[in-house]
Amino acid sequence: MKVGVCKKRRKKEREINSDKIISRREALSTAAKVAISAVIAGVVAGVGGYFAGSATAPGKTVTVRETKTETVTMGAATTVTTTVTATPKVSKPFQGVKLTMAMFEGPAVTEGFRIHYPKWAERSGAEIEFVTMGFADIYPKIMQDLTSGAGRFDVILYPYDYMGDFAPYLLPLDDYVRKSPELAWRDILRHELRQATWGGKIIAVPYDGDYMGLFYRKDILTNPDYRAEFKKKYGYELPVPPRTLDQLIDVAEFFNGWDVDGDGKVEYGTIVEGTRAADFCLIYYVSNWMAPYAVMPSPPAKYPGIFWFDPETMEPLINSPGHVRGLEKYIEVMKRGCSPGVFEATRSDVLSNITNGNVVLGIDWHDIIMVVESSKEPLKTKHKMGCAITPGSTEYWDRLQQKWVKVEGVHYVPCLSFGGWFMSITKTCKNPDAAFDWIAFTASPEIHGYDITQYYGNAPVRYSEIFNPDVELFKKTGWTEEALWDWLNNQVIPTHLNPNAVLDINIPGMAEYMDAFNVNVERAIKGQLSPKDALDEVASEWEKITEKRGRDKQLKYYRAALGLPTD
Amino acid sequence: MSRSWLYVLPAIIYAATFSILPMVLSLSLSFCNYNPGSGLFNFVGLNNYLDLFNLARFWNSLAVTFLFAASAITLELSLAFLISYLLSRETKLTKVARVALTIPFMLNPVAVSYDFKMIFDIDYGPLNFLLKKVGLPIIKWRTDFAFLTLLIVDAWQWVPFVSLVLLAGILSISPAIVESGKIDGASELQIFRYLIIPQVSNLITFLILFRLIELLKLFDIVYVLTGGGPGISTETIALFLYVTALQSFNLGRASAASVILLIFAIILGLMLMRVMRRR
Repeated sequence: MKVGVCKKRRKKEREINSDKIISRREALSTAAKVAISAVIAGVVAGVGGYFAGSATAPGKTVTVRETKTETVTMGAATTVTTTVTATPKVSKPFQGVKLTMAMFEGPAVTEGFRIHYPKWAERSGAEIEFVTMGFADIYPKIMQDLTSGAGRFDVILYPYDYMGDFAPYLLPLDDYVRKSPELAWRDILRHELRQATWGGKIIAVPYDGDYMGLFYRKDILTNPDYRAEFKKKYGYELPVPPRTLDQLIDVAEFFNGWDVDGDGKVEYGTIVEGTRAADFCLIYYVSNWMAPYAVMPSPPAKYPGIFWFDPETMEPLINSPGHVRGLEKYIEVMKRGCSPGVFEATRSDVLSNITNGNVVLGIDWHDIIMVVESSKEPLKTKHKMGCAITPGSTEYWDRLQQKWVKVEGVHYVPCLSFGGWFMSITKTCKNPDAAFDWIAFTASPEIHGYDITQYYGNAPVRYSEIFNPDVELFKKTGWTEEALWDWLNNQVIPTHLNPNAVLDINIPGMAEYMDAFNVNVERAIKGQLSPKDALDEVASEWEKITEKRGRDKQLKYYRAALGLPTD
Repeated sequence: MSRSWLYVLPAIIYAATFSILPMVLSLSLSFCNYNPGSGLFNFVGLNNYLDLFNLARFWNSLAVTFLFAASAITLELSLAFLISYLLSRETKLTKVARVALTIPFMLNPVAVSYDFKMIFDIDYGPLNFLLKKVGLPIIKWRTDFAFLTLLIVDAWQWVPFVSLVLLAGILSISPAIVESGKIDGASELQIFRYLIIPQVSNLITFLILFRLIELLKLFDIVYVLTGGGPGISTETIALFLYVTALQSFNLGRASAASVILLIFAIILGLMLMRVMRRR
């Protein structure tokens, strides 16, 4: 083909295609027009949506006046009768309101929300978006929302231990709580009330009253042949249940590493958490062993339940001889009364081994008995699990006189480990009335009294729940009446009414204090440090944390958490 | 006037927003004492850096990270060379093996870690079951041999990847070079050492750099298998940063630690790049 023809063809092609080719200027101009149009459309849609959402049809107003008389039994001897005039009720008073609630994914603890939510939504007219998260994500995700001011969450369900860090961002609830007949505030257990208060203000409503207790196989410990052998070996009657930690170690050792129930599998004495892993729980397990040796009864102590810091100086108490003795006993039971795998056991291992009957006894949260009694699976521990307060000691360290003091009987110091779950309203919530209505509904005696009977394991937070539970509901879930009263009378009531019960650390910096404890205690467990050296390291790190955050501030928070005067 | 910069503007905005801005913010946070929970926020100069220099746990985490990186890279390269050399022969078995090798590094590290957690379980894991069967004492893998356990898991997942990359390099070597070596009477080992390794030396440097960058960020298998324990004996710098930033919410200190880590990483990277350029 001739060159001239090629050139002409190319020129003609350019002319044809020039209609399709656009210049750079035109391309940018078109793109800008599209972008601007999209933005305008988005703004219009957004504004329209805003106005549409905020235009709510007013609910029907129905005025109801009624006078209610509440009779609340507090403890065994006191009956309080109050007369409350109900405020006028409006049908669907929160029509169109949307709330967001951050909570643990469950089903433990939170299944009740899903079950009861439709009833509340029907009566209130509001909606709730439940944002669930894994346990390890609760603190960072909620903390990020609170500190960034994003305001995504209106209601949060969180562990007591996080209260100190969350408190500045939470709405005080005093007015709501005291004026809510549905919540029946005076029915809530004393220790739970203490935990719900921060700096003299009520900032939370308790939803799950966590504590740790002892669970044991009644059928194994009452076996006459085993009892005879135990007495021969140890020189005293096999205690049912063990009352002291020394007795627990002996019992665990006796039943360790053989088939105790004839099922063809080897069982072990007990199990504890042996590694700090990623679940923070080591501190809870170890503190239950330390408390009976480390906590002075009050009197002679000025204040009850002092375990972590000196309430006058904020000096760490964690390396006292009492605490060291507790850690030594913890390591002793791991070596004498547990399987070799205990050194890598996490919380889920402890829970599953106790409920499945792979160990004869163990200290853990109340979830154990909830699972055992209401499980649909054929657990060999069903209806065979006994409950008791965590074992105590026969002596404690008197930090005032700097000496060991022997007691007559047993010195019990239960720990309200983990502190339980609490609900609060964030300061960024735009509808606190609706939010509190939801909280009062779920925490009410009627609803919560139902939840504690179910498999998802909410622990009692009310006097009515421990003294006057709905026995029939428990039985419908699979409990026997004998198991229920054994649990309440021998574990829950003695724990919650014990004046020396230890509350968790929940002051700001809780995570740092706990991390320092877990890291160094694990080093002691794994033999890298002696118990004394490990706890000295803990005390040293705690001092640095306290200094960095301000000793006076931390002391004030700690005293506020204990319910002590802060002036 | 050239408007070519407009076409790279989106990429610049993206990089500035998601890379440069966070780095600058992190750097500025490293000079502050910032803890959201307590409301603390004030400029403290170099205090965070001085705190870290005096914090044994920080230096321990750096030491663990670099020791683990050195051990893992040495182990993985050694095994990978052996595997890739064996796989360089064209047989039906090697073809199947090459495909099978892609599986481990495609799996999620967290899922792999949980699987190995069960394998290494003291009471119920298959490893200790086999040891008991042959009359050997059981081993507390994640307690007494935590570091080794992590090495095994990391190697299990990454040796296949390294092997395949080396295999590609070995297969790209001209057969004439190997032939000439054989003709000259070189043994297999000599051919491997004096002919093959020099030919893939750049690839080796690249793999070292690649794995080093990954290992400096090592978090998932440590978090699942040991939690940094026993004590802090396997706590890597990434885990230390996580604990400091997202558990203790000590963002100032965590930012300072991440800046120090960045400096170490840049120095190492530059050293390796220089080695590559020399070759």
